[in-house]
Amino acid sequence: MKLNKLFISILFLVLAGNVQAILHMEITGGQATGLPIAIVPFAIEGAGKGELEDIAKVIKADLESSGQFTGTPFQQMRQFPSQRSEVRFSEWQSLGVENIIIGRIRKTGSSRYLVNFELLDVLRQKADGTSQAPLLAMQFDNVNPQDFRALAHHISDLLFQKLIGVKGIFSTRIAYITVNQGSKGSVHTLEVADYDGQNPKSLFRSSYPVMSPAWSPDGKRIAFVSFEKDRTSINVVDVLTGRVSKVTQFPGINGAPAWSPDNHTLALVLSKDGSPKLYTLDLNNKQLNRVTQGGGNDTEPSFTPDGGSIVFTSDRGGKAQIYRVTLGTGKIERLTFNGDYNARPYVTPDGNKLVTLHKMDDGLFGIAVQSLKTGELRVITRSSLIDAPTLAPNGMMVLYGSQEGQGALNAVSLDGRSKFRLPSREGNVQDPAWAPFVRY
Amino acid sequence: MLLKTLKIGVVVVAVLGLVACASKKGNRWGSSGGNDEVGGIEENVRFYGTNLSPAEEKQLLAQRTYYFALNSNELSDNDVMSINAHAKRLVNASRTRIRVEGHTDERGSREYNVALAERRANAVANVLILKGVPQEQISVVSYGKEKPAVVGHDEAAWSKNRRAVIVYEVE
Repeated sequence: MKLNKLFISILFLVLAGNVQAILHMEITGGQATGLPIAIVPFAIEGAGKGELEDIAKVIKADLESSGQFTGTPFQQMRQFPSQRSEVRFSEWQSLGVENIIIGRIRKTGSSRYLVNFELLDVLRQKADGTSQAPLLAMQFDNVNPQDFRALAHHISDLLFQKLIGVKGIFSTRIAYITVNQGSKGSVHTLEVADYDGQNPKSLFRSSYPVMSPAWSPDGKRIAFVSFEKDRTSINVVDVLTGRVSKVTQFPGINGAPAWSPDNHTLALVLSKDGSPKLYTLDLNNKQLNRVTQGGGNDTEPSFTPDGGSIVFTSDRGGKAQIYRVTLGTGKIERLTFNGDYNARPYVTPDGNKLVTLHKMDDGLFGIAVQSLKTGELRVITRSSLIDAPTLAPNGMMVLYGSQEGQGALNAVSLDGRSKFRLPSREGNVQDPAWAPFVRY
Repeated sequence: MLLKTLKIGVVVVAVLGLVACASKKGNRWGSSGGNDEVGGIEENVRFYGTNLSPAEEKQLLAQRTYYFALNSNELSDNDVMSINAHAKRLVNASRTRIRVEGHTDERGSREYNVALAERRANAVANVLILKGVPQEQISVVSYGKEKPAVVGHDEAAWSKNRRAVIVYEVE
């Protein structure tokens, strides 16, 4: 805990002094079809209501953003229980609610709070109208008010795991690039923020383009491409210290970095020997290995979850399609056959699906999800200007850039049911990368 | 007038190329008997790219941006003439350094666009190298869609962004 705090203050020192564009999450579709759930505002003892982050509100936004839940609006609630004994189940049943979350916040010291919550099944109660044991009940002590938002995200993760059976992504972060017009031209900034766009921090800023951020599997470093002084290079920034180190700067393209699950190997693209080809670079011993050969452009590598192969975009067959190279044998196979443009591939964490940027016959771009077993392809969202999809670490959401309007990050659930949007207040926001799960 | 003269030169070279090609592969047009048109054409070749007045050369050197059709890295004849003029200038000034930038429009995935834009930059660089400019004088950088010349989401903007640009770094 002490160490954690130290890191946070270091991070603050490194990142302080820069103004960031805060992205505000707007849920844009799909939530009407989710599981009905009521998150009752937490009762507060010993502090004013406005003083503390509204935990229930954050939880509701989290759960709704997933598309798996529909939260009961606060105005529709006819009671605000904070103890199990206070819950009038029939009232919640009549609202069509299946699960209810109640909680209490109690001040226990100067800037220290005790937070409790319980998850109750509205439909499963005893004959006398009282509740069965809660599905989930937890208590957190010595919570600092600054950490309320993080705690709310953590509770959302616990609820999601309990009710959906999948790890929630509400405590994860994202990286992205902002582009703002400054007095001397455009300014590109690599930022990180919470998954919902809150708490943005700048890590790298340049008057030259910055692109292709990629998180290391341990979440501690981000590889990215810089065009500093009109020369491309791949760099790695330490997220905690902000220290940037250059990894490659060969003539030609140095691009599309991607981390291996082993946390010390980068796949990358170099054109130093002709057309752009895939390489791997061991960051420990600096050994560079060429992975693909021949003509055509090979780019946008991404490791499969087992680390044994790399999927990538290539026009070796004339059009941009997705291929997979097995690292041990060098064997290459083509994975996409629908349409004449499939790019920026990711394999879902379960290894079963391929997510790509797919161009449709009408010229629009879409995010496509293709089964790697059957080859069946489904377009889950479409627009004229979609790019750079990135997968949530639980494989349930895709985040992508869209230049429509001012430029925004958009998220869509892999089943296509739910969408949310992180619009930029100023300038453009693009090229997102969803961070992995991390354990601090 | 300048362009017209030069165009003839280019056409002549192009025809020459076809003839040369045809003679290698056998008679492509299927006509029997030999033809002796080659001799007549060769006489014109010496006019190619020469006979430029300083004003005409200046005009060609003023062009530093070359536009491309969608999914294409093909240079127009006029573009090649301009690049040839830059080549001549570079050959005669070995300390001069240039950068050739490649760009795409905003559609498509970012890193794949970087790969596509490098082809455009290389198309320009290859003309220069073919004309004898040492590689050390040229650096190539592909920006993909990261540095649009014109902001906009329609073909008017896109056609201005699909480009390669010669930038003089050290003159």
